[in-house]
Amino acid sequence: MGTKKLEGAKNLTTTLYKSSLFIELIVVFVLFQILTDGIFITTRNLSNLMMQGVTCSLIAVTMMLVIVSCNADLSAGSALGCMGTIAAILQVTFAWGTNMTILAVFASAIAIGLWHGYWIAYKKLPAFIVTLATQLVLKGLILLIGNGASIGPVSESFSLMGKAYLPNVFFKNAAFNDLSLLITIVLIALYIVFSVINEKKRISQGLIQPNWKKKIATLSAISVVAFGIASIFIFYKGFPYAILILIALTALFHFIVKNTKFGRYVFAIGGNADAARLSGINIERVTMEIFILHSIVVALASIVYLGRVGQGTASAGTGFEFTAITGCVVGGTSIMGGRGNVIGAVIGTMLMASLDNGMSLLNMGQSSQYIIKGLVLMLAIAMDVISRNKNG
Amino acid sequence: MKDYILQMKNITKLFPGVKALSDVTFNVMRGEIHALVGENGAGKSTLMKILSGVYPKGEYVGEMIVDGQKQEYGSIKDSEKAGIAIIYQELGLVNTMTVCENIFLGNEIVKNGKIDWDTQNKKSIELLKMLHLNESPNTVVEQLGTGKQQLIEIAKALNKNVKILILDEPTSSLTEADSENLLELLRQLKASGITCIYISHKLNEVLEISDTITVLRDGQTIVTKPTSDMNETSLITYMVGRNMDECYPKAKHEAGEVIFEVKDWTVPKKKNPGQYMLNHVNFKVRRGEIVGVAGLVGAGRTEFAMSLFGALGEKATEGEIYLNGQKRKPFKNPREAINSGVMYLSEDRKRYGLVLSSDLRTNITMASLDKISRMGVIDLDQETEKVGKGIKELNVKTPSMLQLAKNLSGGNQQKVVIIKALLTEPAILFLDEPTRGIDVGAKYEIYQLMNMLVDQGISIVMISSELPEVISMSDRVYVMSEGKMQAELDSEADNICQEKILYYAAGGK
Repeated sequence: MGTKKLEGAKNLTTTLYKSSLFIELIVVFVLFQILTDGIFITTRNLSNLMMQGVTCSLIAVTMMLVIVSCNADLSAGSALGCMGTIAAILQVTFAWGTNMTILAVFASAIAIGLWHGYWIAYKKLPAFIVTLATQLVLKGLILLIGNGASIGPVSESFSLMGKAYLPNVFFKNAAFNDLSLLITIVLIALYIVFSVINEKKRISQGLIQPNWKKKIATLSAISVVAFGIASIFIFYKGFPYAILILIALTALFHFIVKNTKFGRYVFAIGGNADAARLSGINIERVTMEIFILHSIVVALASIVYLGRVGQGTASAGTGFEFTAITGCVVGGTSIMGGRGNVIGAVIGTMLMASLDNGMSLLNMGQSSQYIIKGLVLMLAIAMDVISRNKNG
Repeated sequence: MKDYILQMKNITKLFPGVKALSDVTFNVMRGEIHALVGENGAGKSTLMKILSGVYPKGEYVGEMIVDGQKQEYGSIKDSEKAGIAIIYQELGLVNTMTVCENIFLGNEIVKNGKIDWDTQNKKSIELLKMLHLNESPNTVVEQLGTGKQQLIEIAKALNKNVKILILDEPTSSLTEADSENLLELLRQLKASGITCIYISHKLNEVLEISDTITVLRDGQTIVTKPTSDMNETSLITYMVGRNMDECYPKAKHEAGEVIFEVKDWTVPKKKNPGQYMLNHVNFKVRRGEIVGVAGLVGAGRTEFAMSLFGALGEKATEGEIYLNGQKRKPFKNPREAINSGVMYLSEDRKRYGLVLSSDLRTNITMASLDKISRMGVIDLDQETEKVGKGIKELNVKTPSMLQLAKNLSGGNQQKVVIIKALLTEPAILFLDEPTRGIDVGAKYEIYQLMNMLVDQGISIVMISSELPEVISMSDRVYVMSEGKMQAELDSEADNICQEKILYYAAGGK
């Protein structure tokens, strides 16, 4: 009797924790929908919301790797701002072409990654302090090279990645975007096919017990939700390139985490660095690679962001690292390292963007926004740590 | 009516997916030394964690009566108040603090808002005297050996007016001499009226020290009997549920040519220049033999293996390595060693072996991903197949290879790290205390596996503090003492016995 009760309570807590991201999403959406008198859930607002959230979500993809390896990057926001300023100056003042500008941005990203990697991986300085230092240095650099002024506008081709949408291809005058619809259908079909193949394989390898009812339910639920989100774009202006970049990057890093040596090593280092070292893993090199990759993704985010806003400003990127880190933790990345997943991190960051968007719609002041966001981070970390302690 | 100081009735405790304890009953009489034995994963530590409040009320089912009072602890603090103190396998001292600070940690004597150091020091000296420990209360704990640290733990417990003292594998990292001291001390404590619960894998110790023995198996109480009614054979039968004819599988190995040789290997101590961690060590390994490395704790055995493996912070200043007869540079890092066919498994599998938060599959292939990857992408099918084969061959008890490493018992965790090592296809395998904290059944399996590997031509270097194990399993034994190779003994020519090894380990020539 009593043991059954215990087991039930335990299962309930586990289920609650596992689906906490989902529950939070529903709570936030319902709450804002009521509070904003129905403005929140409109295709227009949701499309805007996701475009605003895309920058931080991109950062979150690799921020998650940084956190999983027991590191942190507090400089992502100012790095984004700095690279944006560099790109804007090259475009406006020096009239560089789009390709050359992008190359220059990526080059500076690699420089930042090497800088972090050198101090953190090889000199064993704590990432927290190193990136805090870089945050200040880069903020200074932004003011130094940009003189604190807005620099813009960037060229039309440069802003493509930030604000352009997929064109209609077959039905030029349709009320929906046909190409986006096609991509959505193909992606969902591929997802279902690969999931089923993978599930069959895992069952035949004896890794899991067959439970097709549950699998079919999960697959249909995810497909319906994915289509629902996609239709926001399909029936508005179509997929923005920025969203496609986010989807591709998420998929790529999901693959890297699950299927590559590098991904395994990142988790091993975060889970137990000593054991990783004795297993022959080159911790220094892997850490260096994490920071270079992360810096490159931040550069990509800066290009998308600059394309959307059109001009480099001194305050660009402020607080983005905070949103990305909170998003990762909300999405199941453990701040203590060794645990996390890319898709959760992206959805978590989008949740933070929803919070931002909803609070702005409600005309809430900056002060209360800071307080609420701070408390959300606190709560997310508390849940992470408590759940980890509970499960031993 | 018996005078019980502790009664635990119908205790049941669940972990996700595992029933750790099921209806366990455990009764301890006042003033006795009560041994609690059982294989790893039998539930001993879990039971003690309930008793000491680590698992508070609500996380288990059952009833606990301490000193006639029904008790439910909300935390460790509660059980401490009731006079229960537990001393863990892993020591719970703050290494950078002094003996006195550690003894009073959490129980500081405060006068007028500040710590009363005079009284604390005075009381510390009294306690240390009682434990026959000739150290100053101001000594920093990390400067003491493991044996002395253990005594400081006991001093800490005594300081809290302990009624029930629980010792969880207290001698697992102690030398023979230190263990003997500890057992003597327990007898004294018993004479002064302290009840003691003693958990240990070392059955000879249990039989020597205890008054009553309770055996747990698979989370259930199997038997509680006076020690006088038990012997080693009956105890093992209760523990494993079957007869154990032999503890060590004997096997004869045909050693081949020397494949690994170290000459004049010297590593100075970084903190104390002029002193040596390893001092002109000469060492060789032949193909297909088991080489034992014995010695007291602190003799430098682990440091020797780690420095060869390229995993020690300090680097050798002198010395030559020959691999397959070829002279080569010392391994710069574990990667180089692994690629050259040398693998090392640490004595501390939780700290240096496993990523506890990851699943078994990830853990097992961690050191050999190169062999199953192309362009950095892992062949998951091949990985699953290799891991599945290893788990089956070594008989790892787990519902799935996707189980997290932390959910396995000690013996199964040890098998997991061994599979990990084997997948690197080593020619020379260093096993550091391969059976520490492992139950009898799993030990036997690991010995069999070692014999099998040696027959396949792998050479095994086994570092061990358990002398019977070293003597029974090794073809040759090196004895280390204070960073030096004190003796090399051949199992056939030298008639190795415990006394001989101890003689050399203590520095005899």
